[in-house]
Amino acid sequence: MKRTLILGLAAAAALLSAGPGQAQDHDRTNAPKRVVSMNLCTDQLAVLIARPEQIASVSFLSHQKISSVLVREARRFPANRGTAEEIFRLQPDLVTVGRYSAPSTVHLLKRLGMNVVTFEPARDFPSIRENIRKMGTILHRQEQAEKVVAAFDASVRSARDNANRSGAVIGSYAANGYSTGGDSLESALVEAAGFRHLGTEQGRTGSIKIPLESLLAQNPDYLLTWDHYANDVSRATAVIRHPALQKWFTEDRHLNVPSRYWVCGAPFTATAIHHLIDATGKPSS
Amino acid sequence: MKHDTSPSALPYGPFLGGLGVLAVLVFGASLLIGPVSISPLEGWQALGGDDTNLLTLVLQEIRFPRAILGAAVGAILGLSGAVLQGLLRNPLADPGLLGISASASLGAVIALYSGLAALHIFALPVAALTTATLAVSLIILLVGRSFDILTIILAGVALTSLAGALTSLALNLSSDPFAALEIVFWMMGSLTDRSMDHVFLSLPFIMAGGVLLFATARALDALSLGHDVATSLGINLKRTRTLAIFGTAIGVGAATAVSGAIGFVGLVVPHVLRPLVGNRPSHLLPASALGGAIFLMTTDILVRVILPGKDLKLGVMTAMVGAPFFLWLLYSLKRRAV
Repeated sequence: MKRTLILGLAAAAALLSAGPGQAQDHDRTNAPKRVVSMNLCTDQLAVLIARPEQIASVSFLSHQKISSVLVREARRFPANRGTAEEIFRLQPDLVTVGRYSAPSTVHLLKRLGMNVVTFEPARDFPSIRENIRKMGTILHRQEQAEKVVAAFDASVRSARDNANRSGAVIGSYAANGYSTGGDSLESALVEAAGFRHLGTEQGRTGSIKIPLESLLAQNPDYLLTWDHYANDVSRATAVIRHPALQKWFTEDRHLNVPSRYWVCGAPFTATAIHHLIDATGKPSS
Repeated sequence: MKHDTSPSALPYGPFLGGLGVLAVLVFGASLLIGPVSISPLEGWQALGGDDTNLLTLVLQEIRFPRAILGAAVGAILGLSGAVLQGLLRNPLADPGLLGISASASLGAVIALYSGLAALHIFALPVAALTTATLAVSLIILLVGRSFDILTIILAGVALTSLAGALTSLALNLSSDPFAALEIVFWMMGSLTDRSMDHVFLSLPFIMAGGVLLFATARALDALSLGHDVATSLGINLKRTRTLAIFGTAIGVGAATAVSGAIGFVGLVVPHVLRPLVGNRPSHLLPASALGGAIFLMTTDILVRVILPGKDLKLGVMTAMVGAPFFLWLLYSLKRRAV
């Protein structure tokens, strides 16, 4: 105990006398070195912000092309499936989880004395910036986080400059007939692209199941679906390939976008806005 | 099980005609009732429209397949219940209770998530009716000539839980993120947002199954007088059994492949109708098919009306009607036995 105190004092003294380069070194010694991420969104934030040697493991979802934007980068790290035992064995000094990570697992990890940091899902642009900075702080990589925020802001700005100003309404439809309401990341993106959002217009919040025929009757100008669902064979997603939907929302009104840009609120989310603008900018619409 | 005339029996021809008319009316109601309101006049006008007309599209591509499937699935469940009850001479025989529907679900799930269903349009119903065939054969082998009610219930319980567990296993092993959520569909059934594709891939099999089941009618009449009498009347029991096995498996298998496992239809419908047709199996079969269609289309309308937008599962509704009925039946059977 005494020895650590003396060492600490010595380090502090060294820090005071040293220049900025050494201050960074000090920051490195205190920074987490074995970070385990259990959530697709914190995976990708960590990959963008951490020094590679800081990350011990990311979730298996970040290794999958359909859900993850940063597959190549994420595959440099071993994948985990988010069970408490598996995480514990990795001996992490920091575990990042999402608000909706399995509560029992998170609870258990906390009881085992793990340093667990929970991230809220981003619902708008300010909370995306907040999450980037939060990741920067816990990884002791604030500078890198600011760079990422700046790049994100620039990308959003350029999207807003090209925004579609037709006032057209975009509504989404996902597996099992769920459609997203207002006050969501989706509505933020749709509105940033210059459109009106069906869920917001109808005063819906959260994700609500809508019968297919009601969706046809609500008749948004564009239907938004995700490739994750549209290319999948399961019964839950069959409704997206329903002939009535295909006939009503003809190809020029049906925007099938890559899901991986929509799952997480992250820097690359700005790309989703560009996708929307590009997809609707065709002369046919 | 004498099949002369029971006091509550109605004249057969008019009764069957009445059921037919009722089925047509319920079918019409099924087309008109839903989240998008359609009056009969609007519906009639929309029939001639094209794909740019909302009501036409809703009627042709959403409501029509749903009503057709409700009628076909209900009919085959009612019919197979009546046949199984006659063949096994056991009032508790029903494709749902015996685990045949659950087994068909298992086959459908395996076909869907192994990618088999994507290879050929008929791979899905064929897989479902294959596992259903296994289940029916197993049940008939197990129960055989025994009239023991306990055996048949326990065999059904065991088969249902085994098939249910394997279905869950298959869904949990799937890499699809929604697979696990679908356990509810496969065990509770639903006709929500089915399309004409589902009609095309199930209806031929359901009709083929129906033909096989109807072919047992004469033998079932004879069988209701007892095994020995039936044999002496020249009834080929082996053939009857084969017809019933394959008819049930093909029909219920294909139905389950598109609607999930829907319980209790085959139990309730024949029981309600039996006294009305004078306890005669050959009369009960067509009546049960019509009754099953009416019952399922009606519950499917209720599902839309009671909790609109919540996608209440069809199997939940049929179970809420069917399970109390089942308990009452058990109670009355026990009292009769004492």
